[in-house]
Amino acid sequence: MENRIEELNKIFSEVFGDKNLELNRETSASDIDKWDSLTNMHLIVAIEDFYKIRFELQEIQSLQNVGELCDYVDRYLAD
Amino acid sequence: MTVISEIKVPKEDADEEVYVNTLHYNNKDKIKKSAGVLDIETSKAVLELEASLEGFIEYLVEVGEVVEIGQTVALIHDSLDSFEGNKDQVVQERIKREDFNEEIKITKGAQELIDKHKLDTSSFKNSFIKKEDVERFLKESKSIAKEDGVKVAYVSKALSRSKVFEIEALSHVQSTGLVSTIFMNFKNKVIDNEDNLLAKSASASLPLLTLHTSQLLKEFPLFNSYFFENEIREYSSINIGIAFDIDDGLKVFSIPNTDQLPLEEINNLLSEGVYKYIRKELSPKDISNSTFTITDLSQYKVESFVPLINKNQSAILGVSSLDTELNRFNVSLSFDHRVTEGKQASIFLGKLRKLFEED
Repeated sequence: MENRIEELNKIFSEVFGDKNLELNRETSASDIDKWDSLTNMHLIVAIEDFYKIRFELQEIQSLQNVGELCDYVDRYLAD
Repeated sequence: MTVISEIKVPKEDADEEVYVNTLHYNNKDKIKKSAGVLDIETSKAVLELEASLEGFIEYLVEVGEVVEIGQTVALIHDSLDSFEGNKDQVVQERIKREDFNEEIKITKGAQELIDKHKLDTSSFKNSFIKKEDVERFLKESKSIAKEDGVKVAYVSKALSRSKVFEIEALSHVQSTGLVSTIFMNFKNKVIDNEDNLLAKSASASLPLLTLHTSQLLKEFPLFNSYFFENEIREYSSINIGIAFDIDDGLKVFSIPNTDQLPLEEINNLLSEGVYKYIRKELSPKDISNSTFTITDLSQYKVESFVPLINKNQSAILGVSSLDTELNRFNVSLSFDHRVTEGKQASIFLGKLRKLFEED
C-alpha cells in the first residue's frame, strides 16, 4: 500500500507541477489548491496511462480521498 | 479463385505509430511462400512482413500510408481471377476512421526534426507529417516576407486545422458586427458534491448552470435559434455545447436534449467530455449539433470576458473565475442583435442568476 501511495505521489507531483507534494490516505481535493475538475481529468488520464488501465469515470468520481483511490486502483489491477 | 491469405500489421508494434515503408512487388505479381512483400516502419525499427502462402499479391495500402495494428495491408489470391477492387473499400474505411479520430501521424525522421527545432505539431495542416513537410516548414519559416512591407524578421507558422475551423466557426456571426454582450455577477454557492475527491473546482457550478440554462431556453427560444437569410430559425431541441480549449484547440462538446436530463447525468456527461478531449477521443457526433454554447474560463483566473458566438447560434454564455474574497463569479452573455436584443438578454441572464442562486 505504501508503494501505491508513492506511485500516486509521483503522478500527482507531475500533474500539479509540485515536487514537494506529499499525499496520505486522507488527502482530498480540498487539501490541494490546484486540484480542480480540469486538473482532475488530467490526473485520471495520467493514472490510467501509468498503470495501463481504463477506469469507469462515474466510479472514480465518487471517491472521497486518496486512500479510496489507492484501494480502487488496487482492485482494478487485481481484476 | 479466391483470397487465400491476408497480411496484417502485427501486434508487436502496438505502442508505435506504423507506416508503410516499401512495397517489394507490384500488384498481381506472383510471390512465393515466405517472400518479404512489404516493409513497415515504426519510430524504432523497420519490419518486413512475409507471405504465409504462395499466390498473387494485392496491396491494400500505399508507401507512406499510416496503418493500424491488425489492419490488413495485403491479400494473397490463389489466382488472378479473384482480384476485385478491395483496395478502394479499405482506403475508404481508413479515411473515415482518420476523420473520426483526427489523429496526427508523424514519421521518425519528421519527429526528430520536430524535437530538434522544438516545433508545435499543430503548425502542420496535414494529419500525416513526413520529414519533407518539416523541412519545407523550416525553410519557409526562415524567409523574411517582403510583399507585405514588414521590415522586422519573423517566423511564420501555418495555421493548424483546428484553428482554421475555429476561425470559420467564430467569424460567422461576429463578422456582422451586430453582437453585444452583457455581464452579471452570480453569488457562489456550495455544490452538494463538492466534498468528494474530484468535484472541488472553480467550475463546480458548470453542471448547475448548464441545467438551468437548458430549462430557461424553453422560455427564451430566441437564444436557442440562429439567423439565416433574413429569417430566424428556432431549434426544436435544446443541445447545450460546452466549449473546451485546453491544449488541443477549441472544441464544443454537445449534450443532446440537455433540458431533459437530470443534474447528475449532465455532470457525468461533462466529465466524459473533458476526459475525451484530453484523450483526443471526441468524435464528430460528440461535437455536433449544439444549439447554444457555454464556455468556461473559470480555471484561468479570468475576471470577465466577451465570449464569441458560434456559427448557427444566436448566443453564448461565458463563465469567469470565482472571486474568493467576494464569493462570486462573473457570467457574460453574448447575443446576436439580429435575433434578439439587450432587454431580453438582461431578463434571460437575470432569471438564470435567480435560478442558480436559489437552487
